[in-house]
Amino acid sequence: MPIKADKMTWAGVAILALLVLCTILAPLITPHDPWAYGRQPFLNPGRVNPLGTNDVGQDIFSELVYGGRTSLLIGFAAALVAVTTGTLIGLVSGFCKGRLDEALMGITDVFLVIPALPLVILVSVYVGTSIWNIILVIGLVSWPSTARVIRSQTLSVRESGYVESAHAMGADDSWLMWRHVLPNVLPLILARFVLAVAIAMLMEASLSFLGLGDPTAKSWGMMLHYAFARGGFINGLWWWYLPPGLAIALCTLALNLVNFGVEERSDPRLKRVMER
Amino acid sequence: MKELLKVRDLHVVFETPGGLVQANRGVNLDVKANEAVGIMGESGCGKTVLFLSLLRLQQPGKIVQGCVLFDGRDLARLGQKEMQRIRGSQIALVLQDHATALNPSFTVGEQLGEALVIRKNGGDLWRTVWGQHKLDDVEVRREIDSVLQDLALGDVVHVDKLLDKYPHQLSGGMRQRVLIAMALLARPRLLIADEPTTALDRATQMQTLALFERLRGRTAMLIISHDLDAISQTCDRVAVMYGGSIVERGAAAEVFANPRHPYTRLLLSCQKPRRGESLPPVSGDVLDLIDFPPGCSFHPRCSQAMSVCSQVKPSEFEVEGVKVACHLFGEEGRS
Repeated sequence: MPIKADKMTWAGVAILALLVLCTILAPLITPHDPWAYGRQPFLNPGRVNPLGTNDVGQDIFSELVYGGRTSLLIGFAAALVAVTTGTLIGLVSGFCKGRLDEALMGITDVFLVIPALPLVILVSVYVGTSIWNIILVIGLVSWPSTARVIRSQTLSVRESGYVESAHAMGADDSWLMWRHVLPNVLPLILARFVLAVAIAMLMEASLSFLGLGDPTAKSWGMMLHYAFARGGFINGLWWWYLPPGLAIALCTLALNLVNFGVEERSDPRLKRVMER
Repeated sequence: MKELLKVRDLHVVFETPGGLVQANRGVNLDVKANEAVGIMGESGCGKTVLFLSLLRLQQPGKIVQGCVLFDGRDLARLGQKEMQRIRGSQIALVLQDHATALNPSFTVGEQLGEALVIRKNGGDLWRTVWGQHKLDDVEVRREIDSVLQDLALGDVVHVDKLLDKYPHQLSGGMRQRVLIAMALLARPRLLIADEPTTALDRATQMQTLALFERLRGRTAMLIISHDLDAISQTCDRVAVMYGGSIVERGAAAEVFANPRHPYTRLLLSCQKPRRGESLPPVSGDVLDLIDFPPGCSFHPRCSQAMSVCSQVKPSEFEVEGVKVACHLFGEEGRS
């Protein structure tokens, strides 16, 4: 079983690497400028336009590859914001205990109780829709679960013998936190990060689909939005809405496969089985 | 010889919802330089709180009375920053549970190196990050080698291999030795070992005790243990603890040969029952640390209790070099 998990992880890493590579090499792969108008609209897939053209005559394949840039950027950046915030709050909360812990966990609980998507919609209506706002907003609603998980792990690690031992050796609090607690919650942070990327990408897609995405940037969610709004779904133009949907699904799948392996590796007992 | 550690009338309490737990109530203890002192007593008698208090790690417990004089300074009143410099480099601690006392994320070598870095930088993360005392690998290795040599482990183990191993790859005995080496790396003047032989098998116990015997006379030691054999083998003097106070203390040979306090006698008689003999049952209840009996805390279980025992807490009486806190050796006992 563990070896199988390992293979799944590598499959996930491979898919993800391929997608990232494609978006990085977008100018080399894409046959057209995704922003260029002037082509005939609603073209079927063909030799010149592999996935046809959209309602304003832009090449859908080029849109798809460039859209991946935005979607992946938002996913990773928002996850970074969420996991960094969550880790900081969880670490401090678990390590300091007492009043500070209660206050921080109180705030965390409030954020946990509010349903994420409506909050995101509400906030993005207020702050406006640019890529960086979307990243911040998604980060803002995704940190609480990470904070909770990191706090509980911190609580158990800080009571461990080696933390007490290092304390008795003369280490100060920041030393204990940085050198002993953090390395032992790191696998967990990594697992949370991978999962947070998947969640952030889905959230970005939902936001964009609802029309709250950045209209000046192309992303997979925005492509779905336009395909829906401009009659792609009704007229059965599957080459317009299916590729971005599949790309989102593939990306989420890959991230979850990676997460599977990272989580298994964060458990040292399973790790030993894998080494054998 | 000069006293290195002098504990006087130490009171440590814990505030709990059930009431005030008096974990230490008037502990007196002396450790001379380079002397090994054993502390024995039943579970819950306050041994652990006592040694944690010496390092001021007894939180959430509070030291409410008394002093801990270490080399002339009262540790009970030092600030946390100053205390940090005492921990490790002056007073080092070997924890009881060797299975959890090493960080699973780092190799033995990294952790031994960390002990050295903490000693050099006073455990201050920021000073270490900004690199006031960068240790090079050669220096770290030299110090580790010299400590392992001191412990006579240089020949027994393959040092290079040991340093590259993670804690879970070591046997319990080896982890225990690594912990002792780690504590000694800071060249402490007092080494506190909490139950050093408890979680080990018989053969490893002997090896660990041999280590402490080697250290005897070179550094002061405070060995906390249930195992009376371990204490008699490694310690110059012993202190017997009951109900948060030390009831008898003196030279190990004398206390083991002629136990005076009724509790010490009881404790020693429980140690090695001969074949076919059953252990003597102890009457009375285990002490309630919140609601102490008045007078001597042992009197409800004592077979020689007198009327004064339930009224006055006995002070220490000196009998042939042994200090006994029992009225049997005071005026009431003699008359």
